[in-house]
Amino acid sequence: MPQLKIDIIRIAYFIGRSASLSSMWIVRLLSLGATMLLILDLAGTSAGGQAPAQGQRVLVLYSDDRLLPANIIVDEAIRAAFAVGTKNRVEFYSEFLDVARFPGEEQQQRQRDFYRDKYRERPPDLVIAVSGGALVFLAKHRAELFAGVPIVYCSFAGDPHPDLLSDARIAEVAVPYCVAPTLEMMLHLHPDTRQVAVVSGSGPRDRQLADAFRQEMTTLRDRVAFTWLTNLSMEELRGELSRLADHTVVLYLTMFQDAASKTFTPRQALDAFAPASRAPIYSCYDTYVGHGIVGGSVVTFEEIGRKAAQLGIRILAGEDGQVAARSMSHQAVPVFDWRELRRWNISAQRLPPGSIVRFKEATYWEKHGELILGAVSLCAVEAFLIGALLVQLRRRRLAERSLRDSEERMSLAAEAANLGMWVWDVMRDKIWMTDKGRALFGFAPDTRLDNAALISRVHPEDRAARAAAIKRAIETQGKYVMEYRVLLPDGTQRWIGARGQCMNAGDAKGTRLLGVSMDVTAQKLAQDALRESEARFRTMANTAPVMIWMSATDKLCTFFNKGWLDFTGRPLEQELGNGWAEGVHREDFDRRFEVYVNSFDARQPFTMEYRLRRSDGEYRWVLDIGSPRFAPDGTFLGYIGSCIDITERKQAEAEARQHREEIAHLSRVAIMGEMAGSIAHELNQPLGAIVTNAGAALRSLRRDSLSGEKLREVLQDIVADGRRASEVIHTIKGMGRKEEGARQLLHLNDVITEVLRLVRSDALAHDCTVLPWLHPALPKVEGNLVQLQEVFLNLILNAFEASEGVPKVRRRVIIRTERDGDGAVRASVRDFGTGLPADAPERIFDRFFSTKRDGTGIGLFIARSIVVAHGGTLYAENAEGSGAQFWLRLPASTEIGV
Amino acid sequence: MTLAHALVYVIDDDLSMRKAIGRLLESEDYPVELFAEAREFLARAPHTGPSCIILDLNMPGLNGLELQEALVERGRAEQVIFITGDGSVPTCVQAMKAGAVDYLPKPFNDEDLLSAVKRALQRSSEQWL
Repeated sequence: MPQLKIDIIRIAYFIGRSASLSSMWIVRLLSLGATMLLILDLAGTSAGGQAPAQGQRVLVLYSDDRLLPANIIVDEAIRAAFAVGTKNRVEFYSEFLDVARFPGEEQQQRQRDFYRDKYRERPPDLVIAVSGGALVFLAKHRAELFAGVPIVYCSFAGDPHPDLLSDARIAEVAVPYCVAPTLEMMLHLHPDTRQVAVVSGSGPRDRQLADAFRQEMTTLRDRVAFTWLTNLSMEELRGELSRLADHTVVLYLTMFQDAASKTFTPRQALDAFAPASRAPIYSCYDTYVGHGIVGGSVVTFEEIGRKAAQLGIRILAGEDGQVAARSMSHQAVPVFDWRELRRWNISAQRLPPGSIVRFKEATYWEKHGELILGAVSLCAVEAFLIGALLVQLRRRRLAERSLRDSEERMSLAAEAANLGMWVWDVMRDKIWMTDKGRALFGFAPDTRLDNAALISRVHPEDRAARAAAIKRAIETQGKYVMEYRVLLPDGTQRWIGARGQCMNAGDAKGTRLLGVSMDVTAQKLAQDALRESEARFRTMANTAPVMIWMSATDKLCTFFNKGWLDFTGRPLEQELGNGWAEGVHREDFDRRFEVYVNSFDARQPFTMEYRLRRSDGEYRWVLDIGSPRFAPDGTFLGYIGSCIDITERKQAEAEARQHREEIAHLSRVAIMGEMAGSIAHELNQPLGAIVTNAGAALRSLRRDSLSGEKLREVLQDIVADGRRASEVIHTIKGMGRKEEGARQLLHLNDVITEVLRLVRSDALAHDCTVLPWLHPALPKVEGNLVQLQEVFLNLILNAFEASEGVPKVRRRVIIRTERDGDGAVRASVRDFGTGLPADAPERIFDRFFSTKRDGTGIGLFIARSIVVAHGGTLYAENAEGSGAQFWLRLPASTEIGV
Repeated sequence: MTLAHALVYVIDDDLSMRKAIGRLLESEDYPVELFAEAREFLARAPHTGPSCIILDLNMPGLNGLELQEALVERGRAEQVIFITGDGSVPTCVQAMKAGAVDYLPKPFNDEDLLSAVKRALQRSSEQWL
């Protein structure tokens, strides 16, 4: 018995030490959640390897861009739902029509031909059409494409009705437009709201959704005023939002494109304008949550994807799609961003029941509760153990106290820590184990235990590893740490974490192994789930046709997908950390770095373009979109970003701009050339006749064959031709008046808007911001559309060129229209450039006077002639501050109607 | 000085110009026929003998270059002298390539026109030899 007593004392020491070890386990397990995305098994699985010989093929056809966040979510949800919903092997194909940016019949035909060839060998068994663009495409081309294949159609607000395909094999997942519930919720949370500012973009799809919204909101029109923030450029929108009146709330629909024709994903647009808003923003799309909206009533895209997949599975299993579709319903849920609630001081208690609050910062207790609890209980155990030890020591000194008491206390202490303690006398093969320990292995408290009994409970696959670990501990007199599975007699399986130490009481016979075991099943399962989700992420990332990177909280990159590595042609090890930066073009590096670091520190998403070296050594332009990553509890984890090669797009843009510049220049040169040509022709005709007549008369005189009668005729003709020449000059002077037949009633704002559309790329090329401050209720004017456009084209292009020398922030052109009394309309074009020649600003209207290096000096001359011919005036002055201002005044039409 | 049976045509839509050229040629005793448009000229039976055309480039209906082309196609022997109010280098090149004798921008020197006519009739007569 004395040997056992010493062992127990040793166990007490050991538990004291292992208690701190255990706390480290807990820390590690807790931090696993945080590190989940960082621990990547890079040798992982790849799903794209081999196609199944037989299986079902599902083609998901998206209307929009591949990187639209909603599409990413829907795609993932569809695949996940198929994975759990069917045992069949399903091959997925995703196609993205991107109709917003690539409209037009020809483009669709090219896409049709491409798909027809691509899927000839692998026709899909099911097509899932996501939103209206895809349906319209199928409706047009289905005869040649996927004829007879059943279709699941996810329709959103404003999308066409599925009847467009008069086909019984189409089943619809109709997603309700949740603006009405969102509006109700906004008014509930902000009862003193006076107006709702609706933000919508200028793209065709934006318009479509805005129209759908207008229909939805009719019932609410009596309760609150609506203002529309639409047809604005991003800059203007930010300005408007920053000036909103009190008691305003903002409802954001979508912005695929702004008035300056800049395109976005609506979420990017939100990222760009949300920080400027001085009123809270709401919306009904789930992907916006976390990007500056307070919240909204949403049907999550995940749910939409899941529903579409479930419907698809039922159709593939032979059910009638339309019947199946009828049995589905979609529940909108209120979702909020906790940070925004705090920002706008909205109490969580006011939120509707069932609300989901995301990005909630955990309280200290919520974040670290488990750790605190663990630490406190371990401290308690340690204190307890120390106490027990002291008692034990005292008892030993007294030498007469019952051993069993301390044994019980030890067991109690271990039980409190949920640990099973054990001592294995290796030589005698006797195992002592606390009741808690026995329970872990499913042994009754009084059974005699030996190694064979224990092994019988260990999962057969783990036996060898366990035996090896024990053997090593005994041989090295060292420690033994391992995790293994235990199979209980009732068939349940659990994971045991065991730590032990070999103790030797002086000789080989005294070799003992003592240690603790605990149940780690829950942690193990969590770990497995984590691995599985990581593997899924990796598969997705590696099969996605984009380049994906991830970084950790220290800004260093921890992951690059296959797409990236294939692009740069470098192994992962070289790219990790800051290695990727070697591939960034030297000229772009500083800017790339600055955007990244600044966004990172502000935890803001970013979008940037830079050149990256491809494996063949060529630098390609890539568009890189990065977003911060947060754990479910709101902890910041780092960034994730995706890149696509936009070199071709950029080239096309540059070419289009150059083309446009050439046309503008040519048209100006052509005007002058044409004028000169017509003047020449009109004048040369009579002059030629005069010279020839006079020559003929002189010759006849010389030959003395000129009668008086003949001379009179010649002279009469010469006089008539002289008059004719003078008339020609007179007509040219009043040339503007000649075009009177082509006059029509015009809105000056329309003329300007059309010109602004023409000069958009010039504005970009000159880095100029155009601010059209157009009065909404101007009287019409009577005029020639093309000529007036020519006038504004001249003035605006001049303004751009005048802005060239000034810093970018000052490169603005303000175009204003207003009434000028009752009878006239006034427009002004103002720049902040170099201004007019101080001595004689009016000279710029002179013919062939130009301040520009390559100017013809004819543009303003023509512009003024046109305006004067319209009965108006055009003059210029140096504006206050800097730059030039051109004033154009035209008489208003006398016809009634605005 | 003049060649036997020679004939000069003047085709110009501008009456005043047509008349002036007619006078100039008559002062040098050339037989002249005047036409206001190209189709009118094409309707006339070809002259059997050396002939040339003083042809305005810009005319309504069939213009000068088109008429020249039509003549070449029909294998007609008339030599062409172009006159024009607003000539350009490309049209000049085209006209000369198609075999024009000369290309005179209005207003032109009477000597220049007469020497061109002389050369044209010379060339035309070679075809009648």
